[in-house]
Amino acid sequence: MNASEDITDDWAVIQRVRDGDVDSFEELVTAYQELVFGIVARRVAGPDVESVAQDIFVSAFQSLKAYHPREPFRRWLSTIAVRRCVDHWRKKGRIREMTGSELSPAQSDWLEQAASSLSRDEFEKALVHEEAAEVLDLALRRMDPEGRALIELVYFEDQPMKDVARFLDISVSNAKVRSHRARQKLRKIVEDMLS
Amino acid sequence: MSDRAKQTEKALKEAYLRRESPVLPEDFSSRVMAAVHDQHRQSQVVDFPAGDGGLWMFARFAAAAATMAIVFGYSQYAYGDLLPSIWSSDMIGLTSMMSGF
Repeated sequence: MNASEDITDDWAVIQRVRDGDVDSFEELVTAYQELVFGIVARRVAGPDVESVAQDIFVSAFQSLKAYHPREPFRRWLSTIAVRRCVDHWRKKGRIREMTGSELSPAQSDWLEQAASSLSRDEFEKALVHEEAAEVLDLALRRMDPEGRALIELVYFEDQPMKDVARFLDISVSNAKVRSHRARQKLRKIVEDMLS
Repeated sequence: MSDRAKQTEKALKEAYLRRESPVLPEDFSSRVMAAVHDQHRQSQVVDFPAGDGGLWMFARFAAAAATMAIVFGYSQYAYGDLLPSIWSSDMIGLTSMMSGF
């Protein structure tokens, strides 16, 4: 099945749901649950993934009247998913200040290994440690929610700036400026951790 | 930015891309649908205008008519013969606005 058939099928299902057939929404959930779960799993800590993913589908259901078929449903749903993750970080709060001395010994060791690994082998070895995910999480939690979203979308996922702007409901030029600032902030966080 | 920091930033990016995703629960779609049905039921109760626009319009019209009748009745009682000059279209407009119609 090609992309245009998907869009036509989605639109037919959406119209049924809009007409009151709530059960038909399950077709959309089944078709897009992997996509939503994937978006959330990269951004949200393990125990919260399922509840955030569920909230995204409920939000999509609530907003279905606002959906227009000129935009593929997949893209529309992805935008809701990214914004919901940003909301989740806002609720969770952020770590305001943290230096390298506040890391656990294992996390500090990992950081040292990652910072000084000279060969690809050493680099790969460092990445398999569970501390990699922990330090990443600590670094990202020091960012403000929007800055974090920009770092993930622009620098980690290499998403086109046009898509990033749409996800965050800002202009492309604004997205460029803000993502540059967010990158500087991440660098400062990394320098602090290494100090 | 130092080489160490650049290397660490690169490692963080790799760690992000390799993050392990939890397994999608088998009953995820049924749990989502239970939440969707729940949300739908709540919206049916709260969102009165969307559920029955005609009845809502009728209720607002009845409220406006009742307000106008009270104002008219009081004017008749208080001002008697002065009523035709007071009961201008502006008055009707004001009464309608106050009643939210």
